[in-house]
Amino acid sequence: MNKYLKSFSIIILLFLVSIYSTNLITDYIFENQPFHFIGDAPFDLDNIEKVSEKPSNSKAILSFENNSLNIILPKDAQYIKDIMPEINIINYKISKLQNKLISNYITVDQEVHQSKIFEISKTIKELIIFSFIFFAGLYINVFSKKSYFLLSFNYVRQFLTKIIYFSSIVISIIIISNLLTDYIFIERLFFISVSSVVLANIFSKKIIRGVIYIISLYLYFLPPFEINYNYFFILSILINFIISFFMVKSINIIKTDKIKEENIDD
Amino acid sequence: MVNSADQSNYILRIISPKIDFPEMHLQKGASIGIYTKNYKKILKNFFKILTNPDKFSEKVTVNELVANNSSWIGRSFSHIVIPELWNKNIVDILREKPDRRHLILISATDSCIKSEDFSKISELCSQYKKDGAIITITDSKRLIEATSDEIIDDTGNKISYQVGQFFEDMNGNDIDNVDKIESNMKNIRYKKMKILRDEKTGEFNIEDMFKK
Repeated sequence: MNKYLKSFSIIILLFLVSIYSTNLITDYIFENQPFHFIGDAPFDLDNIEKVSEKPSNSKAILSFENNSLNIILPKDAQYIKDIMPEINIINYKISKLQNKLISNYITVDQEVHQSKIFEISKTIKELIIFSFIFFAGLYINVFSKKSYFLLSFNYVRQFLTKIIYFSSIVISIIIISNLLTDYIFIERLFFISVSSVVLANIFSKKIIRGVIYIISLYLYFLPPFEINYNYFFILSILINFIISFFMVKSINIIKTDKIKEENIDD
Repeated sequence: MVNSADQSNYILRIISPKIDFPEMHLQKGASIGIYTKNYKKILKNFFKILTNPDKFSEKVTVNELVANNSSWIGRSFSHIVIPELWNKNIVDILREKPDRRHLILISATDSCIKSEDFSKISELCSQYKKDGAIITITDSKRLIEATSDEIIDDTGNKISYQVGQFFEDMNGNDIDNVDKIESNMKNIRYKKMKILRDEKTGEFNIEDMFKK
């Protein structure tokens, strides 16, 4: 029990440190990404990049006409709350320079996509959460044929401790990432990562496990078709049960070395 | 009365198995070792007999219960000590033995066991032997010497061993004379028994027989 607590705290601490530090770094980079500014302006401002044409992806596009600050937000931008204080500061600075009260006009443009930096940082965070759940699952190895074999020898308590251990790690990772990160749809991430753990635990070869890791990452980030992740989860559990049932039934857990056997026959 | 009491002390009996496995009558307090090169095959066969007694042998009893009709008896009275299955140290698995499991099955290779663990394994085994019995199926000479009182090979033939006082250093090299050790202090393993069979070829070492 003591051993479980030790490795649990190590995993959670590592997760905390990595997710917190990436959060710090990506937030810093995103905050320093300049806004795009179209048109002439009779003043210089920090954190602004002047462009002549509308860019295809942007944090937000600003322009100044007729004593009002036009703000063009990209389609489906998830970070409006975060950039509004910055825009308000810009508004305040312009009104101070112009000696006039300036109003904000917010419009949404369908052709502009949201900031690349924002999307990359979101992907990195999702990758970290995914990998932690996946590799913790591989380390604990609950859904493997070996633990089913021990379960068939009525080691129920040991099996339950492993399941509780794994689920407590997953739950605490989810709680921490919910608290520390925004904009991540955790439910989909949870279902896909746990079902990839269930699938990868069937096999003991590292290559197959790696392939499953890459395929499930591909399914998560670039889904080729609409996946109902609930069905995906149930399907992977079914596959795991069926394959491990036959493996345990034929006692394939302990591999015999074929070369050795041949030598003895000689 | 004395006879019936003796008979009821059998922890495991495997009578005329139909696959490659020696016939076995294991009394309480006994510790048998099966020393074979293809121990994994024998181990597989043992699991087959234990989980499917009716198919693979004439009669199997565990704790004096006839296990032929249900695999539950074989499954729930035996403690499996295989580091490969548990992903744990062999000493930890032995320590976590549930109280009601009296038949202990140990199987491991030399590479899974640390050199300094053998004495702990031996201690725990002699402690558990009081209420149960131990089977060791392995190709490791040192593990068998640590756990077993009686040694057979995969066909059931007895492998001879020598009883006496033997000294080894921690790497497994024999020390013929303890007085000849030069350093002031040295870690020495003390063994009560020694298998008279060469580890590499699996054959009797005849010279050892004559030394005695």
